[in-house]
Amino acid sequence: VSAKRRVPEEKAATLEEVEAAVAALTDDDLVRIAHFAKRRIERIGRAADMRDHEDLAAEAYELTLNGSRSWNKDVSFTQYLLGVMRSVSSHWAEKYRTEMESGRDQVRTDVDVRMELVRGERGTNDPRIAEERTQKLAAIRALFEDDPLASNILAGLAEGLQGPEICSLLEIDGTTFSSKLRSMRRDMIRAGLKRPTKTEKGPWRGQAH
Amino acid sequence: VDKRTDALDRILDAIEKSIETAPVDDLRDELKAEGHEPSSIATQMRAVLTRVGKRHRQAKLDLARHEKAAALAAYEEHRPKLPNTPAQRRLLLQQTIARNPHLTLQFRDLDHHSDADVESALRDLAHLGLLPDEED
Repeated sequence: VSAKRRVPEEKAATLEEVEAAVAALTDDDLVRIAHFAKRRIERIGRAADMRDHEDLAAEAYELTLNGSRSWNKDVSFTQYLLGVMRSVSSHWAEKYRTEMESGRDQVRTDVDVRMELVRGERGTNDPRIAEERTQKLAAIRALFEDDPLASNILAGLAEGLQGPEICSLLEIDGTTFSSKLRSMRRDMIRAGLKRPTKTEKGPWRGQAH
Repeated sequence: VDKRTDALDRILDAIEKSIETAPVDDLRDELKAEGHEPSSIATQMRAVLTRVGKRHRQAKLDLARHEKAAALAAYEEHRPKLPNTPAQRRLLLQQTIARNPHLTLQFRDLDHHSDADVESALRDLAHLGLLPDEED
């Protein structure tokens, strides 16, 4: 997370410019930031380790203020912050994965062990996690099985095709693609299909032991 | 790597990417659908960022205070042992200047230096390591 992105000096915002940009964020900007942060937290699941969307935004901003990340003024501050949040949450997920794979066998207290048992955590080779992801993908596909356009877009995305390629294959324009993707996102959120895993927060937030 | 895992990530990446350009009204609707009040979410997010900014400024202030205190403590700790009388101190300063021809004229114009100036100059020179050792 601390790896500093190289931004040309003349394009890198000063601390004062960053603070001014934050002060100038509109409610619309903040809604977008919060929405994105919530999706990222949901997506990394257990790796969030009790951190929520506000923690993610706070860390992204903190990294900017302490100079670990630099805002290239060529992009909007909101876009920049979304990128840092994506990176930070990916780092959390990667760290979690590494810890799980190593079995946390180096410095692990009794409390750690108990909490892992309570949370049902195991390594990413744990078939439970693979199964959850398989179920998640199946649920997404099932949600749109009666919608040929959505199903085809999903198929294209799953194959790793980019938007323009999918548009070309399906003979739709970019606006239709973007609009459909947004409606799919909305449907997924309404259907509760945001989380790749079922239990992320641990016992502190109401999860039964 | 499980192909299904890749597929899931690719789909979620695209869905996530769409948030960046989505009309904000859509995002508000989606938050409402999850039971959140968008204006509250925005207010809370602003509060979070403001709190981080304040904490950062306070941390910088605390660090500056700490460094100043540490520098003062180091200065006090290395307080040089100077001669007891003003005359002896003035003599020491003259000797030090004589040994260090590179010192500026500011130090050489001793006639205009008060006793306090002489003492201060000696302390500065001591911190620069230019005072002779006691056995010299």
